[in-house]
Amino acid sequence: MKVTFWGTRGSLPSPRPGTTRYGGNTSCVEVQTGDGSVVLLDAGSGIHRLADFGAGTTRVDVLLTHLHMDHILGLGFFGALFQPDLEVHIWGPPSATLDLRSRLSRYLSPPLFPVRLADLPCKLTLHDAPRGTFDLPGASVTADLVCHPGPTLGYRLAADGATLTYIPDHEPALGDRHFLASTAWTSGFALMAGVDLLIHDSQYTDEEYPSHIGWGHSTISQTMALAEAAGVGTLAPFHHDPGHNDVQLDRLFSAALKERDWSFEFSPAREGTTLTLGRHAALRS
Amino acid sequence: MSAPPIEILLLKQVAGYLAMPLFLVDEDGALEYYNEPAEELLGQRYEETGQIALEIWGKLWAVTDLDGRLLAPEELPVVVAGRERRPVLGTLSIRRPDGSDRRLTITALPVEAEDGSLLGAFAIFWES
Amino acid sequence: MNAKAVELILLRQLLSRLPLPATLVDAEGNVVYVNQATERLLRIDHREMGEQPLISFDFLDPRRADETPMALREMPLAMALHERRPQQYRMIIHSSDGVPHRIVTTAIPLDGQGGTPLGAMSFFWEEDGQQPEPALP
Repeated sequence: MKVTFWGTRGSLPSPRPGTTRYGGNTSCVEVQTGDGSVVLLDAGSGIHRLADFGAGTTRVDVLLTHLHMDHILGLGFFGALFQPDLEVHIWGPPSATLDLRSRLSRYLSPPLFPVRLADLPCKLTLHDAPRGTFDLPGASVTADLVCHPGPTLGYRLAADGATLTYIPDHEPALGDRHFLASTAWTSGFALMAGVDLLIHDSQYTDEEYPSHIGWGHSTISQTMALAEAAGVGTLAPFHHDPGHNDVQLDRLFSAALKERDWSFEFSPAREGTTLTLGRHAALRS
Repeated sequence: MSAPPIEILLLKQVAGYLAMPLFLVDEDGALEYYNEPAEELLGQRYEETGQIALEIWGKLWAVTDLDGRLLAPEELPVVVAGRERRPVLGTLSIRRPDGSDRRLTITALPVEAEDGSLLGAFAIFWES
Repeated sequence: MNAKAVELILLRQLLSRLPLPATLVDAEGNVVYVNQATERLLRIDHREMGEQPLISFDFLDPRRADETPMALREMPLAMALHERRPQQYRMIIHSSDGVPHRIVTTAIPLDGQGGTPLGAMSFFWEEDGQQPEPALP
């Protein structure tokens, strides 16, 4: 399983000289399985960095965790949607009242966007992602709701003998006086338990969090504790705050690593980098 | 900007996940939030109303009791629940913006902080 | 690990902070959480009891308002769970020390978006002659 980070930033694209190493594009991760299948995790601005899919690719699946703008901002600029011979399947969180097409159309329609979903040339199918496990070409996916404002999914993918969990927006500590005292009562824990690679929200510092309670995100230290308790192989902190430049992120991650001995590999998500998942290690290329 | 009380944050977040209609007011009875299932039943999206004072939202749906008497805003179950700090159960009728009527059964409960201060009230309701 | 749905997790956090007695059952009818106000009223420690089916709470000895016996499966929380409709009753329950309590209870089925049945929750409060009567349908 090859995992490429095309957008690692949360909330707002933040391209500027000081963010070139970790990147300024918002959430988008490409997963390529051994049989050539492609799954995209979220469609933030980073999606525009994907090259057009060649003749060998007949289908692309896009798993949206939720419909906050930073996770769908790039959808209208996703080249695959304009390829007439390509099957594109977009999966998103369920709603009691509106189907995914209606909800996405709030953005992908005038006046917010000049192109309508109905006008896209590709063979487009929209799905409410079921809670539970379902199969995509090349990968088995488990989806479940996690703690974040508005229905928000986390995804666990299994392919090529490896597993990956993607929870880019997550506040499992919300209202919890004894965080991680009970893993059964910790949002997202079952999705990440024992996974080879955990890509997880790490937006805030401990100092920033008190003024951002309820905003739906985790601190770096909360995420490290979560990864440790879940026994993950590698942790990729993700959804970097737009206000944190590369130097600040280096410092924050370095400090977090020094807190104690951690059992997992630590590989903060950087735009443009690829991890190849084996059974016990994520190799960066 | 200080964070809203944790009880309100939790209520809003869980309301966003549940399929039953939920309506939240603050300690003054002003409209704080209602979820998508509530939007369906009330016939009006929350973003069309926003956070508005009781004197305004309390008249939006022409709420009447079972005898057809129009209820004043301060008589609405969720407002009574907050003001009197007690659960209030009731059945009443509303008139949606499209002119159609709905009969609703309501459970309204106060929301208090652990120090006893009133934070607001919420109502869960369903079509009778 | 019996992982809980995020809706139940959030509700537990919320109910833990409310002064009104509240109980949460999962889709299988197990009592997964009772808040402190409930524990005080019923004289129980839920952490010691663990998650148990609602219908195993024999000590509650529920009665209708006219004191006729009620089966545990007829309790509002059980009814809300199985009939997927809200229930509102006046009734009598007993705390673990055998003391009867006249209560008003409202029980609400919990369904997640996408139609996932999650369980049910109930709130109850003791009837007090000093309090105004709640309006019941």
